[in-house]
Order: sequence, then C-alpha cells, then structure tokens
Amino acid sequence: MLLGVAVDGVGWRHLRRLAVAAERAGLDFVTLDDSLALTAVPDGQPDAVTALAAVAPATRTIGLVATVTTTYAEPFQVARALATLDHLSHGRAGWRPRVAASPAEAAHFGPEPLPEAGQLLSQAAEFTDVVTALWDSWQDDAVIRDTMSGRFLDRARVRHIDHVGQHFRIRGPAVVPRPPQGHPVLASGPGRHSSSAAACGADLVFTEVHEAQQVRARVGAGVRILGEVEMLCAESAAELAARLDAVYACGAVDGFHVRPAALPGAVERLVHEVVPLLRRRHPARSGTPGGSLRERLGLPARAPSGFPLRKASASR
Amino acid sequence: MSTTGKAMHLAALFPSNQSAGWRDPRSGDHSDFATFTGLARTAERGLFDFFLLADYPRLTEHRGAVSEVGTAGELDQITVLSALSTVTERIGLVPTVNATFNEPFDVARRLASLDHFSNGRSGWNVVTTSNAWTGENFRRGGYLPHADRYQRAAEFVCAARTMWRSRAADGPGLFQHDGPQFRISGHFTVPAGPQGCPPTIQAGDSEQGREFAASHADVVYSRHRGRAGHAFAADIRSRTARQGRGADQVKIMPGVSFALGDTDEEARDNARAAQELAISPQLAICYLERTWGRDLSSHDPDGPLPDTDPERAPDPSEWPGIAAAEARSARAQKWRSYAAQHGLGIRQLVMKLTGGKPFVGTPARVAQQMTDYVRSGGADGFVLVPGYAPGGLDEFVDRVVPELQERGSYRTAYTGETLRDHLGQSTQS
Repeated sequence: MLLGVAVDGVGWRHLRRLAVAAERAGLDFVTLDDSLALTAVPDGQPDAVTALAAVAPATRTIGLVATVTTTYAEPFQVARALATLDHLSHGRAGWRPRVAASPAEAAHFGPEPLPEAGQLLSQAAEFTDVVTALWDSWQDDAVIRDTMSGRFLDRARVRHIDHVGQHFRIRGPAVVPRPPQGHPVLASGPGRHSSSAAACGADLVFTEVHEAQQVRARVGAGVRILGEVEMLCAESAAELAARLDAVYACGAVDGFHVRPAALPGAVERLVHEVVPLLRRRHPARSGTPGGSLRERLGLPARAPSGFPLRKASASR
Repeated sequence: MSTTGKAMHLAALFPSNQSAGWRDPRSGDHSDFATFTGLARTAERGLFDFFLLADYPRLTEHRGAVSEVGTAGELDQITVLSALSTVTERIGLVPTVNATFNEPFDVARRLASLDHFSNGRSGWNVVTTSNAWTGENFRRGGYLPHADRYQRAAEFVCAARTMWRSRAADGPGLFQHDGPQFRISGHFTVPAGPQGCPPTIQAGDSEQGREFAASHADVVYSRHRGRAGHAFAADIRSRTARQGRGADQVKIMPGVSFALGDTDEEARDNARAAQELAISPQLAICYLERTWGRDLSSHDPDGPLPDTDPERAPDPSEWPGIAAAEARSARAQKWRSYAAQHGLGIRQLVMKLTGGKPFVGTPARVAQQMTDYVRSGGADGFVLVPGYAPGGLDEFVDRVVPELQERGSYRTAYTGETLRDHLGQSTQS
C-alpha cells in the first residue's frame, strides 16, 4: 500500500520535524501544494520546491513531491530547481504541475488577464514537455572529467533542445546534470487545478476513489493510482484505517494520498496513529537509504532518456 | 564602531564554473550536495557573514558548441541554499538572482521562503544579463538595452521590497507596484521572514551599476583591488552619501583568491600550482580564441601568441557575444606586446590575465595584508574565492582566521542571528 500525506499548513517551524516523523512512520512521500494567491493556509504558502529542499537533508528515504504552478514560471528554471531537489535528495524528488486558477494569481505577474482554460492546459502540457527535454539534454554520463584531454564534459553527450512550440521557444541545454531519477516523479490530479494534461505521462495519479477504476482504464500499467482521501475531523484513527483498508481490498487503487483535516495536530495524528495501523498490515515496499522515489513506487529506478530518441528523429 | 579598529567582513563564493580547477584531485562533484555542505560549514566555522552562489543560466559555448574544458553543471541556487539552511546554523545564504529573466513575485516568494527556513539568513545578489544568447533559455527571450536592464533591476528590487513590507508585522499583504517594467498588484502570500527585506548584494561596475549599488545595495561585490580598489571604495561611498544613506550602510567586499604556505616562497609555489590547475592548456587556447574569433587549436599553448590579426567578421552563431573587431584587434595587440616584453607563452599570459591579485604568503602575512587593506579604507571585507570545493577554505579558516582575530580585525564569535546582524546593519522593515 503506497501512502503519501499532504503536509500543507503544518507551519514553517514544524515542516522538517513532521517530515522526519512521516518517514519514520513508513510513509512513502509527502506532498506540498502551491498557489500564487492567498489560500486557507494560515501561515502562508511557501514555495514548495524551496520548502522541500529544506526537508531533504533532514530525511533519507521519504519522497518529496512539490506542486509547481507552471502558468507564469520559466520551464528552464523549474527544470533546474527540480533537478536540484532530485540531486540533493539522492533521487527522492517529484512534482505535480498545476495551472493558475484565479485572476488574483494573474495580477501578481502583470495586467494581462488569466488565459482561458484551454490555453492554460495546453501551455502546461508544453511546459512539462520542455522540462522533460531539458532533463534529457544531458546524458547520464556527460561528465567525464578526463584530465588527460582536459575535458570536463563530453559535448557529444549534451545537446540543445531547440524547442519551438506554441507557447515556448527554448534553446537549452540545461545547466544542471541529468537528475538521478532521470525524470523526477511526475504526479497529477485530482481535479482541475492540477493540469489534467499532465496525466499523459504521469507516474503517479491522485484521484477520487470512486473514479479510480476509470482512471486505471485510461492510463498505462506503469502508473501508480492513489486514492485522494480526506481525513474527517470526527474520524478516529481506527475508523480511518479501516476505511482505507476496505477500499484498498477492492484493488482499484495502489494506495492513498491523505489530506489531514484542517485542524492543528491533524498531521501528527495521521502520522503517529493512522499510519502505524496501516503499516502493520501493509508494510512499506522499501525504506533502503539511497533508494529513489521511483523505486519506492515500484517504477524503474531511472526514467529512460529521450536523448537518443530525439537524436534519431532529428536525423531522419 | 569598535574601538579596536575596523572589523572586517568575510564571505565565501562557491568556486565558479569558468575554470579548469576541476582537474585538482581535491575538487568535488559540483552537483553533489556534500560539496556544498562541506564548504559552507567550513565558512561557518570561520564565522563568515555569508556563502554566495554565482549563476550562469547558460552553459558556456565556444566555436558553436558546448565548451568541454571548464567545470559545468550548476544546481539551482535558492534550492541548494534552502537545503543548506538545514545543515548550517548561522552563516548567511546568498543566491544570485537574475533580474532580467525572472518575475519579482516568484523571486520574492522564494526568498521569503528561504528567509523563513534559515531563520533570517537569506540575502540576494541581484544581477542583470546583457546577452540575447542567455535569453534563448527564457520566455521573454532577447535581452534589454543596458539602461533598461538597470531600470528593470531597480524596479525588481523595489517591487520585491514592497511585497515583503506588505506582510511585515502581520500586515494584510496588499501590495501594488506600477512602473514601466512591472505593473503588478495583489496580496503577497508569504509572511515576511525574520529579516523583513533580505540584504541585497550587487556586483555591477558600470555607471548605472554603481548608482544602483549606492541606492539599493547592502553589499557591493567588487572586482577592484590595490589602488583601484581604494578609488572604487571612495566612489561608492560618495555616491551612497549623495543618496542620503550612511557610508556604513553599504559594505564593499572585493572578491579575492588566496594562496598560503609555511613560507612566502612555498605560498608563491602554491599560487602558481593553483593557477596552472585553473588554466589548462586547452582552456588557455579557448581563452585566446574568444578574442581571435577563430580556431587556434594548432597553436602550442606554451608557444608564442598568434602573429595573425583576429578574424574581422566571425560567424555570430558560432561566437555569440563576441566583441567588436576593433576592440579585439586592440586587445590582441596589447597582449602580444605584453607577452613579448615579459617573454610569456599563451598559457602563461592567460594565467597573468585571469589571476587577479590574490593574497599570497604565510598566514600571518596574508592576515596582515588583509587587515591593512581594510584599515586603510580600501574595503570593508572580502569575498573569498577558493580554488576548489569542498576543502578549499580549510587552510584559510584554520590558519588565517586566528591570525586575523589576534590582530583584532575579525570577530571571535557570531554576535547575531541573521545575515543583517552579521553585516552590522539594523533590520529593515
């Protein structure tokens, strides 16, 4: 049973501590949401990649999945930041692209109105493609450090991406070596704020439990489908564990992404009371230090590179 | 003001990717977090004000292809520094932020996040970019004319500060900025960090760059040493005063390298060895090619400079950002006569040109030189540029720092918590 928990709203001071506790309890990953406008999060919404980077050195095995609002971001910058998170966590990074959803978010970047939904989603899809191409712009073995020839890099293993699309024109290559996972884990869903376009190619899909069957039919076998579960205020730890257990037994989901109730101490309760009950019956796949998030999710340790493919198509 | 004389400020720059210093066997992997942790912790042990990361948002290219000779691969600054905030306690953490290709809201939010996670240790080094070539990696593409770059940078800083202040002291976060470069408004989403506005570092050297520093910067990272450094410092201080700011509000910190030894002679040998590692034969040829605008790979790196003139009109797609033919001809002329006069080969000349003015000597001598320079008003401190990471500051911190402390010219403990505290500045709100 794969288990992730949303750690939004736990407060700046508690984030590292709670991530450590979540790791000890056997959670597979934490997620941190993003919004460019005010949200219900009382403490304010930190930049998710920056926040999870602060968590990385305090933890060793837990996955770190950051929501990234792509609408006003630079693909070059996002590719670099996520690659960095993956390097410094030794392959534990993931991301969930999201599009801006309100005029308030647009106003933080200029007077132009928020693009309409179709534009937003097509831009997000292209954004994800560019980010992936930038990660693949270095081969895994591009750094050779050959003192004899005085070559640090092998230039044949690094290339311009020369992306020209409807929304972006990006030359590349990235300035950071290919991430340890090749591509940090791509998560998608639920709902319209996470760009559904990203569902194509996603490694991890969060969905409402009752829609899990349909999602399963649409995506490939290598995709992990997690039920999106809200922890209810009145629910006891045993009740929640029993509810998740029953859903899991039906076989439609590979696990759960749990959103703790919006109450102080809810994440602690989840980590300290609910997860141990679940893990007693469904032990975590592996907690080996040095293992990547991909491995933890039962995916290939390193995503195959698009580098040779692109080369082949260019020469055709 | 301390009565024992002026206390200097020290900072460290992570070694740049513009050298072949990776050939030093002590040089670690620049995409390994442990390399950053090692250097930052040593700098913190040395009670440095801050740890600075440079930014090159495009790989070096040369003759139409990615350059192979220099260190390449550079992690994202704010992301690395946020991780470093977890494994350090006091040292300031300063990313370089490009004001030409970023958006103020995004940067302000990321920096406020870093300020929170580091308990008030963030700063930002604001730079601008002048070449369309770097722009090819960003949405806006292209670049800005020189004057507009600084206007955009100034507005960028103002807009970010407006956002940070809007959430200081539990403010409602409502902000508005209307200028030629940015028209933005709304609610800033992150509460102000412990410092309110993180300190600003600036390195531009042009007329506009200096004015920008005098009006906006808390630290100027300068290139000038020796007499030129004194003149630079005097110029910045008078500009700062004209802006109605106290001379102490801007710290002038030149970037310097260093080489140590048990004797001055051994230090000179170490300096030469470091230079030889930084400037490989291949890198020396590449360096010259950027002026000649043509393939010089058949030239002996230890032999004389080419006796031909630089290419007048090299293919701009192969030589992005290359200088005008006249400027390159004049430069080639100057180098040729200098090399002939001093009997230097290509590589030796490049070492001379790129070497700067390092502090070279025994720990005691280096400490005395640094102390004298600061006491005579040439600078408020230094940004040290180690030749390699993670170990490149070990000897300095172990041997020179105690000498500085003995002379009363350096702190013996951190006296504050935030970067602003280390810089000796009051918190801005």
